[in-house]
Amino acid sequence: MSPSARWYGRILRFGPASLRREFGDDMVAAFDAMVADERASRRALPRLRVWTRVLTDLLLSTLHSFRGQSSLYRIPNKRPPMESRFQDLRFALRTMRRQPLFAIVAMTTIAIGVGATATIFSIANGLLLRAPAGVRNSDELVSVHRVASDDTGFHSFSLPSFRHLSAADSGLTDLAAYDSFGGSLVLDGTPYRVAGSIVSANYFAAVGVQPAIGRFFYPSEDTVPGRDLVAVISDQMWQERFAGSPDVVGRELALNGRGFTVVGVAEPGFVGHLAALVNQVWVPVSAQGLIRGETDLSEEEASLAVELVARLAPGSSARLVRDALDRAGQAFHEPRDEDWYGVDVFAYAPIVPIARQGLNWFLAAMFVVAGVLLTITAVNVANMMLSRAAARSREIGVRLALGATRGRLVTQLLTESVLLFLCGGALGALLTVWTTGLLGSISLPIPIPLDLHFAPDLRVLGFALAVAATAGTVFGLSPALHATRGDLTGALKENGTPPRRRQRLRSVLVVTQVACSALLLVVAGLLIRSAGRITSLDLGLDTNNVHAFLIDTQDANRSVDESRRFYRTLTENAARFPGVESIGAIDVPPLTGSNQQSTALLPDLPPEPGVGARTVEFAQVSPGYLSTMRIPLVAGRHLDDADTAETPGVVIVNEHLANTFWPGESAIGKRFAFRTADEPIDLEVVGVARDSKIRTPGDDARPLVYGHWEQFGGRSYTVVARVEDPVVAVMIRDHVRELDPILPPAQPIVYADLVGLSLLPSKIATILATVFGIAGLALAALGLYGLLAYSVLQRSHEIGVRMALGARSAAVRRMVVRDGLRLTVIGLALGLLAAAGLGRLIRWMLFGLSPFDAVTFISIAALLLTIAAIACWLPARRAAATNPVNALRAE
Amino acid sequence: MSQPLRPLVFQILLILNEEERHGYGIMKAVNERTGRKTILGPATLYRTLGQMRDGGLIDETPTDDERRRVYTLSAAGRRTARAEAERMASLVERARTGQLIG
Repeated sequence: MSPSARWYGRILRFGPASLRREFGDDMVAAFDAMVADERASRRALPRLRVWTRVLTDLLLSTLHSFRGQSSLYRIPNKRPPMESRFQDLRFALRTMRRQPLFAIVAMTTIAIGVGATATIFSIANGLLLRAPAGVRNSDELVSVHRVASDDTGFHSFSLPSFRHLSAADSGLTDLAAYDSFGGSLVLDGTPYRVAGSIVSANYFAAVGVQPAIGRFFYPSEDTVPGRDLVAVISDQMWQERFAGSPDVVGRELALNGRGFTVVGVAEPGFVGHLAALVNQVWVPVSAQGLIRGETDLSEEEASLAVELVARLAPGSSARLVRDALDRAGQAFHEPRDEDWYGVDVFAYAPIVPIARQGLNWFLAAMFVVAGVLLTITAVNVANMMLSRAAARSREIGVRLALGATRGRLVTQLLTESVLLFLCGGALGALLTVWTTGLLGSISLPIPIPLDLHFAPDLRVLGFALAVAATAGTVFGLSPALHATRGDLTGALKENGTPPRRRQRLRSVLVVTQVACSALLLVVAGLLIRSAGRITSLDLGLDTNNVHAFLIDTQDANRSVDESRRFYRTLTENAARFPGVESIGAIDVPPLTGSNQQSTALLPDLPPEPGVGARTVEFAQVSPGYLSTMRIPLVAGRHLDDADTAETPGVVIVNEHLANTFWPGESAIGKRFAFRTADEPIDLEVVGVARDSKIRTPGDDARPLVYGHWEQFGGRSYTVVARVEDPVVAVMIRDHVRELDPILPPAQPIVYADLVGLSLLPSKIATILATVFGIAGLALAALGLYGLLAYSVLQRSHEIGVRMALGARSAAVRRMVVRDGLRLTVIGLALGLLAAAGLGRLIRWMLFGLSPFDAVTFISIAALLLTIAAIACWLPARRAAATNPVNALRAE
Repeated sequence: MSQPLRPLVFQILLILNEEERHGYGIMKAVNERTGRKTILGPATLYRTLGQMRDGGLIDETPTDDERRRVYTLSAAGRRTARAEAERMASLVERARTGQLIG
């Protein structure tokens, strides 16, 4: 039995007991079979489909058995059911109109809960579900990834490997390759930064896009490296840069220093098949080496990689494709003595494949938080309805006494609550227009065009209404059942004592309310505290007054030697500018979420078990880098200009590496080697630097090696300059243009903004959790007060008796507060436990803060206890002031 | 004239008239025949099967696999199905004589 079938078995307990007793096992088996059948039918989201179906089915079935519909024959309805449905609806609307304040407060409350959930769903919708404009029949698309030796997925393919796989018979109509590139486009003498993709000729057909004018690539154009310099541009670029003129076809574009002929324009709206990334130009895969400035264009030699997207042939499935590609890949790689660990085939999602897992975690955490807020709002409304049902107990009692069936009354009350929730849900969907607008306006401090579309569509509206209807049914059912269960004599009496069950339901509501608030507030508290820590965190480096320039000489098609000269001239010249305190360069700037690793071979140290070598973080830096970032040396010397490509390899390591590799010894003078494709590079440690954060501010310490940039050679560096005056930063930018007019402008970026990039998910999470947390706290405080005040009111008779028998008012107050607090403590315990569980889900967003942070847990507990105490004390005071005579007279 | 059967009950009788089936088999057959317009779920299916068994329309036979019971049409079930079919046929006949359909 699958875990979800087990869940179905548990949910069956809420349905008719007889059905479960007799057929429970068969139904669970049927569930499994349904999932298997849906999977085989290869439609999207099989599990979700089955769940929707079985839950609706169970709900309807339960309602039918409530109404006593058990005949094999059609029941001649006394009144057509539609008419009674309409009657219920009319009645519900009339009740709403009669108590507009109740309706408005309830709907607004629901709107907050549903709005929060729908906002998160909009993000999921924009990044995972909704295919970008121009992509057709996206349910047939799959993304194909290479599995690596460590069994991790999402790896790319080499071009020869792609060519072999696409020739295999694998159940695909098209297997297309793509890879993004950033580049420089010179138009009328001005360089612009463009984002584009290198694609195989069948890419557009695979994705389903049509040309607006001209054509896409011929199959012959993507075969010979560097021969066919053709390009397709986006409609957006066509309109903006060429004013939509049709003679753009045939024009030459100076792209990364090479002339490409425009052969066509993609249809309006299409900017690539991945969400958020905006492509302006596409060139054939055969131009990949050229556009990256490789000297050897032969595909066998070039270390180029492509990602794969494919369209399934009718009748094929992801599993069949995976098996076929696995075999084809093995046949190709095995004779060449290359490792092959197979492929992964996933249903297409618009998010960049590598970001998918991170996004899933983020969304899961946010869905839980929003769901908790939704629960709080729904509990508030359920409580309001329960109070109203108590006020209407006479009306209900009379109708029951006159012979209305219980099923009929439950249906009517449910109609009321579902209608209320649906209206609130529609309001909530409206709310998402605003919240997603806020989210969509996020811009990144780096020059990458982003296109975030979270605007709610029909799917979001449907989701909001479905959530609202479900919440309305779930949270309306208990009050409705309780309202119609009372004993008639009690209900018909004025001020009848409330049935015990209703009190129990209220207790459940109080506990739920407190638990949810505690969970929500702890999550918000953790995120806020961790956000506060970031500024006070010891990063090991100083980013104040540091400006960064992201430069990639591949954009201008420069060779490694040309690049080396360019960067050296740039840093030497800029260092002499007045106002430049120091300047340096690094290939992978720290705290931006990115990193690169290398494998260190240590002669005197046993390799890690099973690995054979040690993985270390690696960065190429210029001699001025460490002092610019104010990373102090603790031993040895800096890298300097005397170290060149011709002198022996030297590196600086961080303290963590020194202490791990050579504990208790000086690292200076130690030797190790980097494993590379050709032969190991021999290196000597000349300095030890203080530890500093590498990927994110919350990062754990990792072993890090700083290599000398002249000794490794790269073409993409981030130049960092410590300058007081931003004007000086602009001077450096202008100097870049003087040195290389083809390079796209290197806008100075305040380093702190660059760091902000890696903090973006946690920043969004913090904002959301704070907003949700404040809303949740306000709602929970009101709700708690309402719940507790009402239960005290209900006990006024009992309190009157106690006082008539001589209880002192202080004792009564204590009793009431104690009872209220007991429920609060139970809820608190449950909520904090759940928060501890959820903490693991958000750990990666907490920078060095423990997910079990005692300060947060204790202060949230104290806060909620205080609120609960006040919420109890106010009604307790009123209760203690009750005149026993009045309380008893009501009897 | 006999009382009309619930459409689902009639469908199940028709399916079991062809061959005996277990619960999930019935569910699949119903969903295929109704062209997936009304999707039948496990709760409705087994509730109806229980009622039909209690009403004597079908027989339930346990198999070796404890979780799979096989359902067959009983004599009473066959009679009821035939009566329902005849009722429908006479309705159709009336529609034909009234030239509602060809």
